[in-house]
Amino acid sequence: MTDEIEVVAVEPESPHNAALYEAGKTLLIESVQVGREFCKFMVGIATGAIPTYLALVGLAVGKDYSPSNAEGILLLVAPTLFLAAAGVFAFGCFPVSGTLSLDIPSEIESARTAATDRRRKCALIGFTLFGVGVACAVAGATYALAIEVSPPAALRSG
Amino acid sequence: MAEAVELKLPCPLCGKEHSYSLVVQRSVTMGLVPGRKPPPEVQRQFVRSVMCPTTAARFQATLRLSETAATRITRLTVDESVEEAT
Repeated sequence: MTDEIEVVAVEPESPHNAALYEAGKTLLIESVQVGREFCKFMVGIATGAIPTYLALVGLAVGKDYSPSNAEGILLLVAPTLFLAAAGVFAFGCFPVSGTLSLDIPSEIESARTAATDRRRKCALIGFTLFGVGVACAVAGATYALAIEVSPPAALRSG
Repeated sequence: MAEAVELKLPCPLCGKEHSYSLVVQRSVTMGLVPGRKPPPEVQRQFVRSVMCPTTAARFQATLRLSETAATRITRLTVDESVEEAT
């Protein structure tokens, strides 16, 4: 099949199309940075969520509370998930070595696609873990609020 | 299915004629019913931005290609590695 191509018009680029071209160029250049910036930002959020959650639980149960093994495991699910999410986000920021030639656009394209795909995957997994962690943290904090803490033995006898 | 076609465009910026490689990708489907009349041909217009090798500025070309329901154009790209047409 041979394509018959008719050139209808050839004209200087319209301002609108020129602006669209620049916007496309910016999107292409920034596509590598967006994933990295997101992962970097989320590492801080996920690690910061751990002390926040522990402080909330500590505030709810008081300093004299000593959880049983089962309760301890239950209350540690959320920080474990936050830690796992932080690890995945950190992996997303991890520098990857590779070689590419600037003379071959297809090599640059495949390197860019590999970098963005890897970061997107890390961002998705990390954010899912973080989301589940937030749900567990809400459940854990609610559970901590419902725990009735008995006063220490010294206070009871006195 | 991709097909590369040589495209010569008169440049509105420098007045010379430049040669580009146009890659037409089509989604070709086969009809299963024999003897059925072929689908009607329609004309589609595409605007593509290309670089003038002399002035290093971009200009746009409006191209018209024909397609049918069985040979739909899925992608039309211009190879930027241009050559001067003599």
